Amino acid sequence: MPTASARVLFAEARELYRLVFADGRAPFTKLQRAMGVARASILFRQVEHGVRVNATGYVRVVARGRIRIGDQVQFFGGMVPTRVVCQVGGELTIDSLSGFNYGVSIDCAQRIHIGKRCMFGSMSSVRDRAEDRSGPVVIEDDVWVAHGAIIEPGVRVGAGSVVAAGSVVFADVPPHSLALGNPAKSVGMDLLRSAAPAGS
Amino acid sequence: MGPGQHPAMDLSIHEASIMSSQPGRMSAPISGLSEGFVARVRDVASRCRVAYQFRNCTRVGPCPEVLGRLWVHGGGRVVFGQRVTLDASCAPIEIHAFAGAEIELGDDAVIEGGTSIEAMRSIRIGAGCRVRMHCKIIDGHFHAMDGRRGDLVPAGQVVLEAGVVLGPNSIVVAGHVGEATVVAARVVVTRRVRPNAVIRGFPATTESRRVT
Repeated sequence: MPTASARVLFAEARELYRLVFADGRAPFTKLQRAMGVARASILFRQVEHGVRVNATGYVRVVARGRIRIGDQVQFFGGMVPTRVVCQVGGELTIDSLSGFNYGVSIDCAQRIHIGKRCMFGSMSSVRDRAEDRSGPVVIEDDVWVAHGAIIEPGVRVGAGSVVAAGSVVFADVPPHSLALGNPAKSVGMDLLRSAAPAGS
Repeated sequence: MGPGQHPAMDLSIHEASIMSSQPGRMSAPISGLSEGFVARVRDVASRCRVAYQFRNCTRVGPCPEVLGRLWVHGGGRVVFGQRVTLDASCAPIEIHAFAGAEIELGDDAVIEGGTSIEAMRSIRIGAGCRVRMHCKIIDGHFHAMDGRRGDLVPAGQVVLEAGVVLGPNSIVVAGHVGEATVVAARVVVTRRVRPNAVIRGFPATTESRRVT
């Protein structure tokens, strides 16, 4: 074990570190961003992609079909790598400004479209072919798919909707609504505006 | 077996006994060094590793056990009680307290791999809790439901009282789970759950109340 003085030094160094890098939410430094863009350009070298696609963590890309990725799409790293798989004959499009947290799994055999400014929480998953059913998946603009949600084949998620954490979506979600549950049921967003905030 | 006597505890002795019973395996000691010496070196190495993994914690009680990768991030307060077990041998454990937030882990708590605990305000996990694999415990939604998604929304609090068991893949968002409640797999908890209950499904339903 370190001596008392070493401990004090260590604690001071830690405080300094905390002061400098005060919060995990602080935006990425320029260097990190540049490294992310460089990593993305290597990971997505076989893929049609726009400018400033950023991967701060590892992404496993299997491009047997056609993948198109828009500008400034972000892939964040974490404890589980993200998986972007497009099988032969598949067509996967991810529009600009979408963000993917760690552990997202996108498995495309026919067609998956992800709109602009979508947010994918960690460990969420989208697929268009399952054991018993298949169909194209369309996720429109500004959709937030929260942690651990699963979007099943043949589903269309409307613009501005939220898929709640842990939900499993089997049916279409109308625009500006919240899909919640397993199987997911959709609730209009205007109903939620009057609801109490989290934890109360 | 008491909660503090996890079978994998006291790793050095355990490994030493394996080494002596199976000579010539991958973990065989280098010739010329006694088994006791090798075991001691391993023990010191694992202690150093654990000390490094706990470097961002504010306070850690005696006899913690860490297997695998533990990530403690952020500028908040992270306090572990006595004899906590963080078993990340299958997947890493992520503990993230934002600046000003607080995460408390009670005595004899067990956290399994793939679990992510993120606090913007306060998360308290009681004594003897067991959080199973790939759980997510957060105290707020992190994003606004509609409008500008980048905006931070005010966080709530998470309290898991003593003896709660969280099933694999379950998610707690700003909930309060009563004492000794069992939460089944893939349940999402967002509000207050009574003590001594068994809840399952999503949306969650109380399946039964255990007689104590």
